[in-house]
Amino acid sequence: MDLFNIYYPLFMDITEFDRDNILTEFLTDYLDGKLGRAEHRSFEEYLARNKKEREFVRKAMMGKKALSRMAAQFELPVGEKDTSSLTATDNH
Amino acid sequence: MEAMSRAKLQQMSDEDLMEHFQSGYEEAFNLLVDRYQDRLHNFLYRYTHNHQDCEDLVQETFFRVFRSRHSYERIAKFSTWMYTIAINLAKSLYKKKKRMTTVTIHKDPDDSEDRPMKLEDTGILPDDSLHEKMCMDELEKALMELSEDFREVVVLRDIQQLTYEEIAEIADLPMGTVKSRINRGRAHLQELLENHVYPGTISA
Repeated sequence: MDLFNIYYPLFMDITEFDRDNILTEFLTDYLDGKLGRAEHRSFEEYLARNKKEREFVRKAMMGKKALSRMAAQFELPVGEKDTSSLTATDNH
Repeated sequence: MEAMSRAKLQQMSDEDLMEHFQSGYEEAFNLLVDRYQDRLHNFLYRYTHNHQDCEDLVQETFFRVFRSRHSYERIAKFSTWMYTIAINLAKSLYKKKKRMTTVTIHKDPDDSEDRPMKLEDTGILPDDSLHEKMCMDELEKALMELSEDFREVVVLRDIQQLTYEEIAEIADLPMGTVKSRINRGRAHLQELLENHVYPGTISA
């Protein structure tokens, strides 16, 4: 399966999210705030029962928030936005 | 540098071509243009739905690739770097068009003064700014510690705010893999922040 071909950091636990595409879809929608009320509750119940997955979700959520803060730093007025990618330093 | 045949250059990866271009081989740049101009046009059409805008954006993207060639680093895939330039240009064009439309509709004909927009006072004190900058530096450091596979997709999603479909296209990966990598990349980033940047300050 495709998901197993991904390089994983050695010190990170493999969770059910790595084995189950449907669960990954749920997680993605959960982090994007796109789950319906019932789905949201059901997913949180699942997390309550599964510690490793709950910890993974906490980290993913915190990581997403950290990246959002970074994205806000890059928000420049139109016309001044650097068009090079984050990894490039445009010295022109 | 030793002369190199086009056939030999054609066998090279994008990143190798970029390296040769950085060393002064303009033929390598021409090959990158050949490789990507159609794909880039198709990709940009999804943003603009306007072929003329696409033509202009493709041209501008390659111009920027040419001009900024020395700022490219191999830590990013060439295609991601180039697509990111293209997407930013497309977004700027979209914002510019939107702003022009807004001005046309909402301009008060009785207001003869050309008053500049008032900048929002964020109320950030110098100390807060410094703290914020330090946090950003640490965050950027942690981001650079992520493997390329993860960094690529989280940057496209959470910094560039592209859709999963766009990322799948740029990274040339199935959607499931994109989503999985984004989630894992975010979790790994947080783990790096907790383990290295703020050790012992955050408990699970």
